[in-house]
Amino acid sequence: MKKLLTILFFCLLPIHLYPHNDVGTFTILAGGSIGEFLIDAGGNFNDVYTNRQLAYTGIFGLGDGETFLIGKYRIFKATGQSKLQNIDAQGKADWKQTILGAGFRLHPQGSSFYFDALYLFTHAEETIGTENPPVDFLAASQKLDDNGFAFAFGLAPKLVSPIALDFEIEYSFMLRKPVNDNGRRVPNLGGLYYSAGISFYFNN
Amino acid sequence: MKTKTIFALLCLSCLIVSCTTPPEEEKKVAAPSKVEILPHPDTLFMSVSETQTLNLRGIYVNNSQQTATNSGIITDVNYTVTSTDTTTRSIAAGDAAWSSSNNTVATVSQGVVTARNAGTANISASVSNVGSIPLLVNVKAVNTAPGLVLDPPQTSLIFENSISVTGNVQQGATLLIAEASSSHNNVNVPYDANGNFSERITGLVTGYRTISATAQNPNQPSLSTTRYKYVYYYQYLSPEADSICGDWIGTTLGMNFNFNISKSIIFTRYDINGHIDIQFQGIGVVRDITLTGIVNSNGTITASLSKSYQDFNISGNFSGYFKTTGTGEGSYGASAKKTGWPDLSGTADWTAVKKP
Repeated sequence: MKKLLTILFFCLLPIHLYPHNDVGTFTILAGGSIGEFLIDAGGNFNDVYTNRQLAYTGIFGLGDGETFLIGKYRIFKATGQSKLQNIDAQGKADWKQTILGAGFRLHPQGSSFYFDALYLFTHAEETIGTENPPVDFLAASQKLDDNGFAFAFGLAPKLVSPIALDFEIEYSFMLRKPVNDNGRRVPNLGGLYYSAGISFYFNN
Repeated sequence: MKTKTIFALLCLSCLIVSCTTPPEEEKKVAAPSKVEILPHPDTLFMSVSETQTLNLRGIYVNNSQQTATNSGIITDVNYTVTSTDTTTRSIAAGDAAWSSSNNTVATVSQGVVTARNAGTANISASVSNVGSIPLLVNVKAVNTAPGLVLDPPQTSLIFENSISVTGNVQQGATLLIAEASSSHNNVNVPYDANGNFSERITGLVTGYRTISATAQNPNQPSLSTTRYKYVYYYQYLSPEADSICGDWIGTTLGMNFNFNISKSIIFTRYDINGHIDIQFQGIGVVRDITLTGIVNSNGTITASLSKSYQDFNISGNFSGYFKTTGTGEGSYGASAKKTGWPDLSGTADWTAVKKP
């Protein structure tokens, strides 16, 4: 997936040379993308969650063709095996995370390139347990809310007005304010996000 | 500009915070929780000037705790299991502090008891401030009747023509065991260094039989002690033996339980089936545990206990004997096992009477 996105990214680089939006024209932005969300989580996320699903993101924005006020919503799910110690069993884990972001998008001089700066609100839910055998005492779930910032760089070459392809790379980091039920400070639930999608730029 | 942006994003991606939870395991080995004197009959019969060597056994209880942990990214849960292992180990006599409650009757040193004068004395041993149950030493003068104890029950119901008589006799005594219907008359029953004996009597005739055991002072046979054991010997499927068939009501720890004894389709055998409630420490009373087994030819009961209860596998043994056709008694021991739990056990005695 990462390789595919990288190849597409560089193949489409020349497209940004062409004008994208009419600067100074009221424009409505709407779109969606699918991508891979690589959560930092202190470097442990991939150890636990070996079966990561693709993340889905929706975007809506209003602007003048160059600067947009935007909102993003992303949902991400994963399953894997929790880490067990001192018991002969198999761990299981389910992860669900939603991220709501609000901020600005800048298309410099209406070009196909854009930069996003967002403030994030995230909600994560994790359920862990065991199987083979199931042990009731080692099952638990945790929900927590966090917030943070995200910065993204993307390319949205227009195909046929108002449709544009959308390739984006985003890095987000959370403030890690909350602690979990056991008093442990949670790791960064942000991370790197690669995506590809379609956007619509409606203008007059 | 593009290169700087990508470089900045890569730098941000390097923010890593890791947390680890070390495993916790704590093991504690305690001093002996109990000290036993071996051999351990309640009473040790001795004659004046006789010596006996006692040994010691320590019962050690090891408590161990193990904490199992399950960790996700933001979720931690742990569960600590405390298990208790009981082991026994011999203790050198020299490692204990020995004492006698009456040094005039018996003295003790390094586990060697010496009978001094007629009377009784309690011999105790202590290891790490843990004292043993006192052993009663009964010292008899040379010219007295020797001591004799027969193991219970005094009255047995059997379905075969033989029975073993066991017990303990004072060292030096001559032991005689006799039974009339079988013409059994052993005038010199052997016993071991501790005075324990087991005499097998065969060829009993059906009916109510009396077995006599007599311990004689070898120096003066008229000084003797006689004990009796009574046997109801019924042949299988005789009207008398069949009288145990039917419904019985038992009692254990203040709780009633029921079982039924019936003729088996297997010749010369009785089956026992029922249900019992057992108290387990930790989970309380588990009801309706299945009891199934047989009545053996020597009148004893051999049965098993089983039940599945809230993921616990409960199993155990139920044993006993019939004193007469009207009463029975015995004991049971059951364990409850479940993954992630320490083993639980329930043990108690029971008595039962046949329902009219």
